[in-house]
Amino acid sequence: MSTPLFLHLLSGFLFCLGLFVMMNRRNTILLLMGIELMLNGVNLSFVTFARELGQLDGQLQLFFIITIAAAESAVGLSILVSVFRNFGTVSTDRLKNLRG
Amino acid sequence: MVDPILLVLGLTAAVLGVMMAVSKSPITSAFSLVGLMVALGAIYGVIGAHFVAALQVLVYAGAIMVLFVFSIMLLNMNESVREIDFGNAKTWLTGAMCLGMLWMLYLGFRQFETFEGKPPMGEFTLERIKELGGNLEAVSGLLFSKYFFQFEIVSFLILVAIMAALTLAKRKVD
Repeated sequence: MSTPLFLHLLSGFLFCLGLFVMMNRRNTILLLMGIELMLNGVNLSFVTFARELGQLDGQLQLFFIITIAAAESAVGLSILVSVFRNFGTVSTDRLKNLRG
Repeated sequence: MVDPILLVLGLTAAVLGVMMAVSKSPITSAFSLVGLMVALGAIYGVIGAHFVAALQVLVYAGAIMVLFVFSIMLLNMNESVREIDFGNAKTWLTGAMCLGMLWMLYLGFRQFETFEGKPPMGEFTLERIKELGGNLEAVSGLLFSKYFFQFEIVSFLILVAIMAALTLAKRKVD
């Protein structure tokens, strides 16, 4: 197995693991962590492709992705704090006000 | 052949990822994720993306994970619940789905190795980057020329996100 293939496989594994976390955990904070895990998997793929193809654009994309991930988690966690204040829980099992 | 350092770092990242997915307490998950991000930063450093490696450790493992750990402490989530129920068929079904997806990704990436439409090697080979004065010089040169507009837009996005976070955390919604 070549080095780029190994890194791509690792990135795919991290992405799928993040998806698994998203589908199976109940705690909203863990769901946000799953999103971060998926973003990290994609980042690794970007950097590996950038190295494999001799370009730097992948690394610059990663710079933007990290910034957007920081913004996303700041907004997500403040929503979470607000939800906890209003409902007293962050479990997706008990947050069903929008179910109608 | 895979570089042994990369192999060790990659396996560390994978094991920490699995620990994060199955651990009972949120704080264990958060610290596993910190370890995973540091391992990924080390991988970036080994394959020559030094600027990105520093960013990964500073922003991801530093700032974002501090935010996560802080929220976990603020919300006082100290109860440990076994959330992933391995006796449930749904867990196995989703697990099998993820593994199938990983297999398809593997096939695609393996195909790419010998793909005939693969673009030729670009301008920034390792030698060229060394000539330009290192990874940081090359990346910042592109960042302030080709990607300058995106850079400014992203700075506005950060500003908006700060305001959104402040407003959301302050007011009571009902």
